[in-house]
Amino acid sequence: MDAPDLARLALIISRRHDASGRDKYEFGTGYFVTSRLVLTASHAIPEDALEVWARLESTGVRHRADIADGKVKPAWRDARIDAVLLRVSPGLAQVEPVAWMDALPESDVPWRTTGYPDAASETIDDHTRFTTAVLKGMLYSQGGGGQGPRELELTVDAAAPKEGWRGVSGAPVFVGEKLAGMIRQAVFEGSRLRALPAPVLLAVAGFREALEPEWLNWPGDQRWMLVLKSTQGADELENRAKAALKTFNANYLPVTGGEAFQQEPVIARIEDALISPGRWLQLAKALCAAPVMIADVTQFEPGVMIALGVRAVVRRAVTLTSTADRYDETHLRQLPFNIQETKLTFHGGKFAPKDPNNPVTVISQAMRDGLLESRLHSRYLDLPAYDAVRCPFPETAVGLQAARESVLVLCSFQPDYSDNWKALSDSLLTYYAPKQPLRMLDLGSPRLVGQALYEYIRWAGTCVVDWTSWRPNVFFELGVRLACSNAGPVCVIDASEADSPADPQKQQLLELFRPARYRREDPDATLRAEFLEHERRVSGMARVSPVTSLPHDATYQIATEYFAWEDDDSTALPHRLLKAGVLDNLGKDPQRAGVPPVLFSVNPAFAERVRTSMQERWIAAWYYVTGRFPNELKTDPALRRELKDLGENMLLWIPSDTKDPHLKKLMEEVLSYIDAYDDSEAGGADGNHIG
Amino acid sequence: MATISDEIRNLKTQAKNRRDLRRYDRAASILTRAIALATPDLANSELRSQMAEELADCNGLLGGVQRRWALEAEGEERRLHLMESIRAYDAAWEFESGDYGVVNSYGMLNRLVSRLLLNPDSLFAEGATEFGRDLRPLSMRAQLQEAGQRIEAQLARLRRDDYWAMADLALVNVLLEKQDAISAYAGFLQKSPPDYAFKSVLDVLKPLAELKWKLADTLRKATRYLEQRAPGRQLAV
Repeated sequence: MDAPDLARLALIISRRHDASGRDKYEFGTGYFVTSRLVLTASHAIPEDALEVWARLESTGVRHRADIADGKVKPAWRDARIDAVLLRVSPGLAQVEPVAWMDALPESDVPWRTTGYPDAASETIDDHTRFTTAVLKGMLYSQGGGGQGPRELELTVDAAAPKEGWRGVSGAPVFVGEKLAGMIRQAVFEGSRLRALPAPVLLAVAGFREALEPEWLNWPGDQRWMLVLKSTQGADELENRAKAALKTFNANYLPVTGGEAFQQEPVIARIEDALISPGRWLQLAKALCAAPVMIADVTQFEPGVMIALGVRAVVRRAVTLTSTADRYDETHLRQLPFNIQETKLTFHGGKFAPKDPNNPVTVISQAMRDGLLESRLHSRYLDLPAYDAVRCPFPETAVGLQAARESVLVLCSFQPDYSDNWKALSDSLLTYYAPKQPLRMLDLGSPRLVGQALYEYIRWAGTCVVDWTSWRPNVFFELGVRLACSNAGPVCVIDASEADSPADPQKQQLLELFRPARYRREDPDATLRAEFLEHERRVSGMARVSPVTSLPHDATYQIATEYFAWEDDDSTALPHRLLKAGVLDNLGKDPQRAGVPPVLFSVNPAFAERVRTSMQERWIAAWYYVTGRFPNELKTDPALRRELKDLGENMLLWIPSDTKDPHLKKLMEEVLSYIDAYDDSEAGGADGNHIG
Repeated sequence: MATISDEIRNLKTQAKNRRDLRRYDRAASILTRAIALATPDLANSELRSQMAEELADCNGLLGGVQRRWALEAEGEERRLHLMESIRAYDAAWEFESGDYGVVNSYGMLNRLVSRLLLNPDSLFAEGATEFGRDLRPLSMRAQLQEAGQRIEAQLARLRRDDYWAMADLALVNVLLEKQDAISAYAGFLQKSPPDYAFKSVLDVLKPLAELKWKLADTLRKATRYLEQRAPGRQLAV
């Protein structure tokens, strides 16, 4: 079969409105990379395109791109590298997977394409007739480098004036039978073309995720639960989570507030997630999006632990961890400290419906408590790491240097690992000198080990993860690093544990993350090359991006794009932070409790300062809203209500007989506003009065 | 995503502010709304205990609003608001004494205080005293003794550090002439309560001290003693 395949080649037609509202058309070339996804250049699809069609060359059939809110909605677009994937209907009946050229060629090679350049079109009776043109030439292996993103430099046997190349944008570049890239622009007065290399495209997580057929599907307009199933676990957790969701919706909504959850949970089996990089990235996206997640941590399978590590970085709440087995204290004590920190629930066993240990009751109540507590406490956490990885860059000279200069090693601390550590640390020091390899126990910070560990996981310049011994905490920490650093980890494993493991999940993980195998007797033999290649990958100089393995920073890219930042208090406006600060210290109804909520506040001097601080926070919140949003307060009912709430809380804190003239004046202002608000609620004045 | 508890708390905050501004009519109306909001959810087993606590608290606040209102009025108006106060505190006591798991003495004691303000002689009467149509007749001394025992039991366990409980027990002991003011309020002061607790305790003591009865002198001493020891806002939060 000649490449490109004409049964996948398409003329791309975009319709948009010009400034005067008339239809205007843009043209390009596209290529079906799956049955429904067409790859083309981003600049060929204007952001304001109203409609886009892919006219298939072999049949002439028009395939229409998805539209949302009156505009074309690409499955993925990255204007920075000038590429877009359009999801079209109808799809092609049957297509083979694309054979990607996932490594840049080491020497000059011939290339070819077919596209729709303007030079090959003609105008007949005011209509443009597009004709395909075959282009070919040489791909120069040493061209396209230098500053900026890597490109393919292509000579063209039959050159055309620069403007004659319009319409060829998006055309697939083939080297033999392999798709090597996509044409983006003409250079050298039209004598050469530039193309986006396939390895660059394959390193983009969003592209990889979009290429994968949709595996997990969750509602956009309703709360939902993600169930992460382990490989060993039966259907017990899934069935009980379903029943727990129904119980929660029926019984606990009035307690927690909010809308009902989708009755059916979204089920993700870990072995399905590890099938391909695209699947893993879809799971990462779900980990970012799920309002509630329950993970089956029975036997602490490594894949589940990586996913939990990612979840710990991207969501503050609510994550439940559940096991089929009921662990006793002896077993729990043997777990690594960062796993001991989590509250395990149990979904196994048979219990009477009224038994408080019944898993349906336990899970639904854990959901209730998690949702409720995460609303009551702004710093709520049910997994470690969320706050620690958000620490800013260490500012002390020691901290700065230690973080930048360290090679953090996440590994087992079991006695049988000590020989591996000797061999690996020696190899690391030899390669990275003068940087020192550091394990959790070697971190210089006097802070709590957990805090320091997660902070280093984020900031360490190089992070090496040794999979040897398959320890669950190591895989949890690996997940944390994958999600929080744009420099993915260097994964390594003792070859004796990597060759044909009996556990199929381990096999999948080895395939997906490709840890470098080493032998204790001579780790340098394999690891030096891996360390070098890792540095190339992190610096963007790598020439290879294997289709079957995960790009080093792909999980981080997905977390960056889909992390639920709306819930992150770093985005909260000052008045909301001030309010949360009071509630975090005092609770919502401190007067009723009868006991001082603030520790040591029976110390009068301390109590006075605390009280002043709380009062001033309400005052600051009031001034912020009234000073910052005077116009919005005239039109935004929700903001008016929020201000009333601030005013009411402030009044509780200012003594009505205050002698402070400033506070007296402020109280009058607040009262005036509240009265006007109450009148407006009762159908009277407009409620906008301030000052 | 406000819960019903959030809404009730907001209403209570509003009512407290209206009360402190002496806008009793508005405060009472807000509390009535809060009570109406909480009542249906009493039937929800998940919210039963929480709503009972809120209903006890809201009714208690309403009783306090009506009592303040009464104390600023005279004659028949004063009597009517005191009766409203008793009704509200009786309702609070229903939730405190029912099987809802509410551990408090707010309604239990204040239903007696409002009755004393309505009829001080009832403290010295033998047997139950009538306080008006549709209000429960009570034997005040026996009720105060029972309240004292209940509060002591609460303080021994669930309300060990609760300054409200300490203040309630002190008042019972003063009214029953079991302790002088200084001894009675020592426990309360030891907790370094916040200014709003002092204010609330004094708001109860002062009108009782103004009654023409044999306890007036003791209660005036208690009032003065607490006023001297309430140094503005330099107390626990």
